[in-house]
Amino acid sequence: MVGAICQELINKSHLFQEVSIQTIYFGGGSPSFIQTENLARILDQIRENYSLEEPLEVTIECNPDDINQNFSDAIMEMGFNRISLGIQSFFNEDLELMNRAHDSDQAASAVQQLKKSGFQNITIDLIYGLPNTSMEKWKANIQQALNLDVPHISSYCLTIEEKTLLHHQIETGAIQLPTPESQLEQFVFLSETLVKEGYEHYEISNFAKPGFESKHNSSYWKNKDYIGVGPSAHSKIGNKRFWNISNNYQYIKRLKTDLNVSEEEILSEKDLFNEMLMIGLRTKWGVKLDNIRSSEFYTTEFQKELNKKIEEGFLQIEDEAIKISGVNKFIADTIISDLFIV
Amino acid sequence: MKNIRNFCIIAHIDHGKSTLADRLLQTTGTISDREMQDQALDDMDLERERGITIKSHAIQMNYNHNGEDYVLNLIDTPGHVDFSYEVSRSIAACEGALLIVDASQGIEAQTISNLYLALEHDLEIIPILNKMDLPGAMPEEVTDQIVDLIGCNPEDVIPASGKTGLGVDKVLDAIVEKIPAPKGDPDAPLQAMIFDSVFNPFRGIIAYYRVLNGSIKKGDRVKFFNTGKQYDADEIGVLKMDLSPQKSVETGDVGYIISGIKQAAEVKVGDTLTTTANPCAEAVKGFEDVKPMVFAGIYPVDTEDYEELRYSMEKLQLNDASLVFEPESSAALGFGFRCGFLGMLHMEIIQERLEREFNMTVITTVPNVSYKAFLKKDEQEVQVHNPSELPDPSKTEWIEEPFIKAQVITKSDYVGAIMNLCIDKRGELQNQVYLTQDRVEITFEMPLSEIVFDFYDRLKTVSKGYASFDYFPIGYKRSDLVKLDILLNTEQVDALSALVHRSNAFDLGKKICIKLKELIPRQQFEIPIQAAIGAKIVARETIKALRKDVTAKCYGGDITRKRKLLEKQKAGKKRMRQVGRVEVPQEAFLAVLKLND
Repeated sequence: MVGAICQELINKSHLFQEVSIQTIYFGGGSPSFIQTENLARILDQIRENYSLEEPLEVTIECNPDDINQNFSDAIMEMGFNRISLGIQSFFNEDLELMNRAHDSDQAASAVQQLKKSGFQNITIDLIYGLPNTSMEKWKANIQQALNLDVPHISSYCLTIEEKTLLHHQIETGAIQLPTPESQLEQFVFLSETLVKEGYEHYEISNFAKPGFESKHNSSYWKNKDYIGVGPSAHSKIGNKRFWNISNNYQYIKRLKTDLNVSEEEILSEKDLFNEMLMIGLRTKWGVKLDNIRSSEFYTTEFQKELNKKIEEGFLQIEDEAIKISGVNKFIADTIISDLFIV
Repeated sequence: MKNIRNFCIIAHIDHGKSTLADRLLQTTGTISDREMQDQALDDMDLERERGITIKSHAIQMNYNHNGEDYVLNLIDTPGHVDFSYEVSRSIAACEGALLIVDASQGIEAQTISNLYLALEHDLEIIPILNKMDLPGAMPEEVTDQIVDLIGCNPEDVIPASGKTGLGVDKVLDAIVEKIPAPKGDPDAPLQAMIFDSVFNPFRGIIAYYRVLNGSIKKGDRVKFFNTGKQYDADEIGVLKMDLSPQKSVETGDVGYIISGIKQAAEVKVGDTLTTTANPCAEAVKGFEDVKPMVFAGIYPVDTEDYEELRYSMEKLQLNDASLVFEPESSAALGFGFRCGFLGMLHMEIIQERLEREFNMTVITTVPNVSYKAFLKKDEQEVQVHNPSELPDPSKTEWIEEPFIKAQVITKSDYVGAIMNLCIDKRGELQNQVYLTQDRVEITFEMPLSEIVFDFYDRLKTVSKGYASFDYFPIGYKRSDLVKLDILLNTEQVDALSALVHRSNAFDLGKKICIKLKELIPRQQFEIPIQAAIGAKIVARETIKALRKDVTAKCYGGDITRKRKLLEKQKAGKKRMRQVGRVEVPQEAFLAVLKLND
């Protein structure tokens, strides 16, 4: 697999001839499971084939149980400078429900170890809206996270995917989810608490101390180009988006025989307009009015919908940009979808 | 004439009428094996899928029996209660009928009512026990039922199977030997009865008729008794697998005429066809101008499609004269049409044909029957086809609604449950007869409007599917009716109003509110749903405001999928109707019909 990934990095290098790389992100699964030599090999491959721009943000997603002194020191040594730690919750019952391998003690010790190895830029993931989550428990979770004193927190509301055990258990009533109202309450508490503690709520699910926003993720939201390598990885260059096949075996086999590993779509002007709204409205930057007004889709119908949303208080104009106001972030999908051009 | 046999088939849905008919066509060589499509007689997709014949057809077969050539005309009959008048005309065109009963199911209500019609017209009945190949066949028991019903001998019942071909020869022989040849005077003036018509986009209306007296010749100047309209017989002929043009069609035979008629409405089933030169003295008895029984609003989903909808409806009307419509407008739905249908199935068929043949997505409002309101002032009668037309209660002396006589045949186990249902539906029991030890025929009178409201579904549920149902109208009766209004976000939605019996109003109001709460998605604000009679609110539910609709993650790999999802959401919303501030999905307008789902 690592060989295939290195091969793909070479194959794709022509796409980034003109530009240099600002961020590198190892994610989508459990990259901390990969042996450190292999992580180094991939990084070396990038350095050999691409021009890099300093200050480079190099992130790796880690499971708390994979963090020990050796690993932590090794990835520091290799050049990683940002860690995304999938803590999710500080309650063992929640971690069991989500089939997580770590326990709550490991979460805290992982952060301490990373700091000891010299990492400052650490982000942790927290999940809310879990079954049996009371407000007290959620408050305790946030307090624990604050105690770790990390500069970035991502927090997601539990999403139930179809055809999963959890979905089945919820359908049959074996497990009960909190109501949308209490999920909203948890979201509001999260946002208010973290903002009070000096974090900025810069995207629906992301909070950062000044200067610690994820440069990598922000580049998706600022419509920059990116290339992804590995099974299922997505890339975007200009108005073209392409994604690799997800089957590991096929992925390796096809790369070996020099076959195409990806499917692609050409984004139409309409797609790009919709994506600009979808991504922008999720962030603190919003969508620049200039970008909307200059579009061919800025029709009377669109203006009507936009004005309605502003009048109803779901959207606001600030710094020459449209933004979703306050708790309405929690119904962002509906607000965004209503503005879509279809 | 002595070698002509005219017959139809009486059968319940799914008792294998079409398959057996195909076998007759195949055995007589009318259709080659190669040409044989399954259920050749049903040529609309919709019919095949529903397993019923919506429009009747006719087909001529040639058959040699004991060295003599015979002409057998099979007149196909529609198999649903909504089309009972058409069935009666088809039956009137025949001398005999095949009574097909599924050997594994036994006799059903619809079979009985059509059988009675056939007996009224003195048709010779040939009983056939079909589907003998099925493992669940109960030949003795079902034979007993048939013997009880028509008083034949058990050995007269022909065991058959459309699937294997068993008994097909015996059926053909029985048609020749038992069904009498047509009677009629070949020298008399032309007297033919129209029993059906179809629309052909290239040739206009093709009318089907049975010649009772005299003959029709190509080029004759003809007229229809009832409409008084005259035409030239441009083409006449008999019906094989395709049209087979002839110089003349003689007494006793079945044929078609093409005469440049453009609209189905000009040809009325049951009307009499004769020549202008030598007209017959009397019309054929039994003509009725069929009146629609059920009314509903049909609206385009997109208000801009109104003209296209009108065009589509006009096209549909070309080959379905029983569809009537006139423009109406609704505060909630904009411009559309108030349509009259023969019944609920007819309504569904029209809706489906609009979607399939014309690609029109429509909103159908709650159907209602045709009411009569009598004003206080002068007891003047007002026809009410739409709840919003109901005169002010203070000015109304009384209201009448149409009643039906309904027949249900079921297993004795379900009698109790069905009686309860009928009482619930304001029915009055008239009669209860045990056809066999465990098959019961229940007859009762009830308001037609109760059938419109979820009757079929509930009958199916309480009888676990073991009940068949048939009805015919018996006129208007006085009723204590009130107009139940629905308010969304405090605005009355005219398209959701219904006329209901006062005793049901509270209960129904509550159920409708609950159903609407289920069907209308949460929106960015709270929406009260209220049911009201006049100014009095009788029920209330609340759709809470949308609190959460946000995707947690939106990174590189999520963007395309997310965009497509939100595009779909927007497209779905576009199909909804904006009523005040509330977005209402189409199915909500029919909520009243699905209260027990």
